[in-house]
Amino acid sequence: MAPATFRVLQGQARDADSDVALVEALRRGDPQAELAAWNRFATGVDQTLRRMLGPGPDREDLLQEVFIRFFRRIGTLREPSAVRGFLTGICIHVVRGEIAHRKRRRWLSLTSTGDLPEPLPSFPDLEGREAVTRYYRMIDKLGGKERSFFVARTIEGMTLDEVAAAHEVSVSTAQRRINRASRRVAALVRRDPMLAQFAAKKAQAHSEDQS
Amino acid sequence: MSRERDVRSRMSDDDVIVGVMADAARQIAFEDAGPGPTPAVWHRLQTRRARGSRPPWRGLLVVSAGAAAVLALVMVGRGVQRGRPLTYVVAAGAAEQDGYIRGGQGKDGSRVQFSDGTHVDLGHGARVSVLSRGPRGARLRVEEGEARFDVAHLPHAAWSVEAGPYVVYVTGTVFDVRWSGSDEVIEVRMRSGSVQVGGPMLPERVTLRGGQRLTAKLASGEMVIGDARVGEARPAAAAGEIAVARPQAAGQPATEPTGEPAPASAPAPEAAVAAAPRVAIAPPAPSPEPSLPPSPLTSPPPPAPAPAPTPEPAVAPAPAPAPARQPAIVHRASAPHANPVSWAPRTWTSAATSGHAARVVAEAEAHGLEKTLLEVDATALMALSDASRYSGRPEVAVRALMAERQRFPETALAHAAAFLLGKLADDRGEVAASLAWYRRYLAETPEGPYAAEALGRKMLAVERISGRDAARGVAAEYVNRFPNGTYMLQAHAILANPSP
Repeated sequence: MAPATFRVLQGQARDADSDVALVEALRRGDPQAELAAWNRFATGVDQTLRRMLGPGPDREDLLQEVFIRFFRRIGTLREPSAVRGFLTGICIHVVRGEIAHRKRRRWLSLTSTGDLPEPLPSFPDLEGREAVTRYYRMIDKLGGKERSFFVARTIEGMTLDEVAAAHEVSVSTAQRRINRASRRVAALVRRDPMLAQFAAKKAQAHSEDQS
Repeated sequence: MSRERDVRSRMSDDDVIVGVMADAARQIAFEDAGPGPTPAVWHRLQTRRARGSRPPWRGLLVVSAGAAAVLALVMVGRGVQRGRPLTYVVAAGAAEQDGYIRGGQGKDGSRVQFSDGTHVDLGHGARVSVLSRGPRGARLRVEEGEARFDVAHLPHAAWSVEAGPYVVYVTGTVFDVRWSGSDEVIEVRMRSGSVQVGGPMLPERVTLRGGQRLTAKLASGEMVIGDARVGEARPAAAAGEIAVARPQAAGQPATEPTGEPAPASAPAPEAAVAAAPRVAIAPPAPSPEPSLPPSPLTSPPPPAPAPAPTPEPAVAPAPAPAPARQPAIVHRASAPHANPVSWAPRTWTSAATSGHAARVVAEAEAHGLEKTLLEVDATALMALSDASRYSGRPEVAVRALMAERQRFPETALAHAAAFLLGKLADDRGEVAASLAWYRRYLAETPEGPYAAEALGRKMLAVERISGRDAARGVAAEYVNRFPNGTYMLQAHAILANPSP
């Protein structure tokens, strides 16, 4: 009969109306609202971070950082229904900071990738994992800004308008940067035999699926 | 014309390459994501936020320290060996698969040996994962079952062990962790050294020392800190441990004393309260100080007078079998203090959360409990209440909370005391009294930090006293105010099934 004192439940409601109500509760300082926001958004933010950063160890510190900034800045959100885009914008900034941090670590030669060494997990689809890992390393060669535009558009799947808004540039500037990054990344993939072969195989499978 | 076609074709190829690689990246991200962040991550986020914001000069310090570190690293060069993460070997008997290390079924279980001398012995069928490794420690997770951790005591060792939503922070020690995901029960048994444990039901990290044991049952909200050796020999509630345990549901019909609708056939409040399990604690020793109630354990909450205390139930309890009705409070654990007791109420808050709860109570008693309740400030009173609950002395906790309300009315701590008094009454199975306290708390501070918890508990109390139909209004209010709250499932159950 005695109830649980604390349990984080995964929220189910995902409609815009409840997002608005949640934002308003956060702005009011309702202490329950923060946990509700975590329940509702943490999984999505976690996946966004994974897509933006690529395979690797858990990014708990970054997830925490996103929510710390979110709770701190919720008062600056003008349109409560745009809270998910607001969170994605925070993710973009946190990931850019992380990429810059990685570059500093790489410069110090602590590790070859700038990542802290982690045990390799054993997963199926090792070829795909290896290819994707190489792909992200390649993307990291783009400048911090260009990487951010490119990942937001191609991997995160944001619209041009969203990418532009998140980076606070015009749509045409965003388009230009994405195009430039795409050309560069495609060229890098072609020059990497393993990635070129992987991409060709995937493209063929894709076209066979469509036909 | 031909060149333009080439450019277009190349552009299209670029899009295909970028597209298929993006698909593969999303697929891997999806596979890695799993069920999402664990509750422990939320808890650590709260801890991190609670540490507070950085002072303005800290940025300068960080930059200076960073520059010094860079210089040192460049000078040392690339041959630094100390920065390498620990390695580990999974001994025969264990299997490493899908990112988990599984304990063998053999007699001796299996061992994971780390390069710094730390080793982990997995119990039969236990499942542990190494979440990350660093040069001075690792983050491990007990997914299921029991494991013993013998952490090498080295300078700056940094180990942590997660189990469900709990985290055990370690520097160097020997301890056992058992986690049952299905029952949501964690048990930490200390062999030597000390650890800190953080997680639900622990507002701050609690320090456990050699010989102590912490058991937390998330489903029932029970938290016990006691003697590890006792737990091995006998059931937890048997003897010799500090315990704040929740009784079984009373089962007897009870009546709702105020407000909510109650069935016409419900017995009188006195009967309802008297039928609830009693606290097996002797009343506090007589004191020369007369100003506070001699036994607030049984004092009624202000808005709804509860029955006068009696050592025996006024009405004979229902004939439930004895083992099913655990006493709400098990008697105290530690031997009486032999050392001289100091008097430092200002340190009580930290002492209560760092494994010295019994010392706080001892200090208060040595000083004279009545005198203490009149002299110390509001913060110390609340710390004394916490320490008393951790030490299995709820009668002292109740007195401290009553004093808090009497001496510092209209303060946040006094409001919190109302909620805690409700919880303590809940622990004793005094549903009517707990309900009155929850109501009082919600009336005093409807948006207070315990509002969700108080409303959820109020809902369950009304359900227990007057049935589901009577609880529907509270359930609807709960769902409306706290749609993702802890009691959401119970609230929806009440709304969906009016009459169980």
